Amino acid sequence: MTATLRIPVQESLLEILKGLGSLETVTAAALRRYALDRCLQRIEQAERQIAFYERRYESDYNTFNRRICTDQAFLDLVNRDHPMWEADAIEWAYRIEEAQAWRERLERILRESWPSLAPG
Amino acid sequence: MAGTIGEDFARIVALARARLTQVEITEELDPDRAILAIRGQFGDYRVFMKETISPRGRRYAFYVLEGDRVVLGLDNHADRQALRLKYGRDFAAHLSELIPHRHAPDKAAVELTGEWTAERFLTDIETLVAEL
Repeated sequence: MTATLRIPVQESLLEILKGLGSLETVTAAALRRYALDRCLQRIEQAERQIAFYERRYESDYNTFNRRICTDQAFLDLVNRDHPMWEADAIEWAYRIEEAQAWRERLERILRESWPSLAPG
Repeated sequence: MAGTIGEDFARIVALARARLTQVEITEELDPDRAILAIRGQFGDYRVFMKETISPRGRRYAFYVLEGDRVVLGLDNHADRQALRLKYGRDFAAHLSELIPHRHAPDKAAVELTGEWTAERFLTDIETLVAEL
């Protein structure tokens, strides 16, 4: 499915783009590249945050959450050492969902643009 | 959706600036998700708030602190005590649920609550602190 985009572009940039091939092809490629770069950037940012919380709590989120919910001794320990752990945990879960959402967007771009490169 | 979350966050931030001092805000807004963190001071107490909104729901954690000591906590992240209060022996079947609850000073006790919003927390902070 395609849509038409009408946007003002600096004339000098337009001249350069014209020299690189058909405007339609070059612009579509540039948009794809931009979207891919931003998806990767957002995935990396989210994963840096996830890694930060994994280091802080020496655990992945699923294990941490399971222990917080089932192991009173672990909960007492975390409450003692990190009394505001809930604020960390909600962001931790949020970053995991965020990374997954951007991964799905990235895969969609790959699937629709270069089907042979898309995972799965 | 982004417009609505953005407007909600703008209202919360304005209220935080009106109710707290030394306010620091961190926020990220995407079309389908958002995160907001607020640090500030209410009299002698420090206040820390974090809220996330995503397709999986709204999660929050709001604290009043005396130094580094939590004197009041309101959040909806499940933990063993909140789960047991809500579900008794069947609590293990509900580990991924959001359970609104309140922590007493030093997190020495937990009680279940209704859902708290950032706006309500900021509006009621004087009363919450007076009850400590």
